[in-house]
Amino acid sequence: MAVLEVRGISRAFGGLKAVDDVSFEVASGEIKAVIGPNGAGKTTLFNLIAGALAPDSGEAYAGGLPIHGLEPYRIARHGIARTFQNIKLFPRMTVLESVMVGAHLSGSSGVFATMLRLPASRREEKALRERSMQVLEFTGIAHLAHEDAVSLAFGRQRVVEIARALAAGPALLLLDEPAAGLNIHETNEISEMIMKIRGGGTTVLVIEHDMSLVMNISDSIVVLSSGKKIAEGGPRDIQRNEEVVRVYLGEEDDA
Amino acid sequence: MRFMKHAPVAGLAAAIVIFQLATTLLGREFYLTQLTMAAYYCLVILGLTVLMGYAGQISMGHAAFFAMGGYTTAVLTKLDLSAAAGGLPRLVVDLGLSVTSVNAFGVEVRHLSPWVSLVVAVLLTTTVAFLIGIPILRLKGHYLAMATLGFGIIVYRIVLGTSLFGEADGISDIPAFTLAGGLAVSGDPELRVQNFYIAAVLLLAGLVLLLNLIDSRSGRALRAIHGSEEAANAMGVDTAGFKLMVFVLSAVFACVAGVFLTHFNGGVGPSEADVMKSVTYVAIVAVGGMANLWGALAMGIVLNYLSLRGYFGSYDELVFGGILIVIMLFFPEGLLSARNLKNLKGAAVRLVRGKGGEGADGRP
Repeated sequence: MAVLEVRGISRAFGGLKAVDDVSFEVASGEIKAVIGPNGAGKTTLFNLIAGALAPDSGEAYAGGLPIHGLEPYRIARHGIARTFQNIKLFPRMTVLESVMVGAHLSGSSGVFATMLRLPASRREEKALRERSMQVLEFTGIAHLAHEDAVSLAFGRQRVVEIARALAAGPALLLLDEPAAGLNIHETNEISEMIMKIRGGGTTVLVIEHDMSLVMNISDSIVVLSSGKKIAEGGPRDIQRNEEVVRVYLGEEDDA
Repeated sequence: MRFMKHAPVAGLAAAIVIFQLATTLLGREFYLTQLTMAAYYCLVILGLTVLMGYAGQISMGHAAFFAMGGYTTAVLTKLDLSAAAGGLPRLVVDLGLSVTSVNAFGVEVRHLSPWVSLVVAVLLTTTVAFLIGIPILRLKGHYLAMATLGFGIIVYRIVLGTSLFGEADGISDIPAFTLAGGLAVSGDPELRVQNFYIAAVLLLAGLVLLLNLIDSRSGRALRAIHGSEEAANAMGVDTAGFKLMVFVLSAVFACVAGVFLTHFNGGVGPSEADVMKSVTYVAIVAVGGMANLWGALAMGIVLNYLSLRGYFGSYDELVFGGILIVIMLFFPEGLLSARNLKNLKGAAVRLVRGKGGEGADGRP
């Protein structure tokens, strides 16, 4: 069964159809990329999948269960975690604490249990901490655990965002332009990390502008243009697709 | 590690005992009266600190929740059950929910146990906080401030305009709240020391509960909401639910403080519900450093104590209004905020090192 299935999803802002009848599937264990020129509707599509926006029409299923129209925190409970294009880390929290928020769903202690430090909530706190430290080690930032997250270098903040999402133990990780604003070296690190994440059994859906990154790591690619899906296939097929080339390089016209 | 965590609380407990012994030895026990009152107000401030400083949700109406506690217990424990012949009053007496105490005229009166009125007050506050919290916590920033302010004004006008609540006079001659083992929350000067300890224990308990909360899964969720509600929600945090929980929790802290202080004072008046009171609470949370329970506690004790002892005279409201303006202008993250304290510590370290370095080898 597909980790994620999107069926005919649409969303308009005023008269603009930001996402127009888009359908695709993400198979378990693959790295899938969504590409397209600026304004193609990639981030809107992500927001529709993650619940930050409600679709006007269409459906989305996580592991066969409907998730369209649910609030983000409910969609997170269906095993979908995300990062943000414009980094949204928590000020006044350390890296470890931020990642522990990512692991929120693996705990269940409520306000009263934690106020009273009941034994169960203490055990849970310990488990959350260990799990989060493991994620920090996996992403190579364990040495920054007690640093203030928002005062880290930009590239590191990206990694903290990825670590925070991974701490949820998601079936599907949504990465919104993980290489945006990074240099070549950092971009290579991110691409290695994405491969490693997939190697760890997490399916990845990534929006990305960096073509070399996308072509190197993706198993399959969805191409959006003006809110519509214009192509889908492996990196080689997409590179040879005339429509895609036309959208990306522009066509000769009289203008 | 664990010891380090509890050391400040133990230190505070020790300071409380030392202070009490000092006042008794110096014959200045009357200081304890205002400190007891300050401790109860601090309970409101601690709850508000978690709501405002940690979860990032402002309330300009917390005096209303304090008043709900105070007036509920005042009205209920003033009902005379001495002649309870039948119906509900008789049932209350038969169930052992009543106590007797001697009123201001030396007459023994049977009335509802303050334990019962405490429970009723908490239930009432919880219900009201839930009902108003659901719609208004969707608002953010100054819209939320306006909505809570509106709620505070409504409660104030109700208190002021209802004969049941004594209108402008408030309610007085409220019986003592007898706890277990001969302890009683009461303004009787004979009971001054034990009342100081009752308030201190309640405050310490509240502090420990909230310290536990902020350093936990729920606390991190609240702080994450403050930082980025969208990101917190995407991580699976039920942001609306957590905001509502902490709003209700802080309301209950205010309500419990209201119940105890009302029995300690033996009366409650509409000034407790006044919007200016809510502004005072917000101002103290702000000076305390917003997200700093210890700072709020320290500032809450000091400023309330000075205010209650009349140091600000008729400029009382001006002082707290002024504090709020200065903080918002120059320290929007709060005066005793983590960042300011860090800078202060850095400056102190540089100062000490600078001097030490010169002394050690004679070179700058």
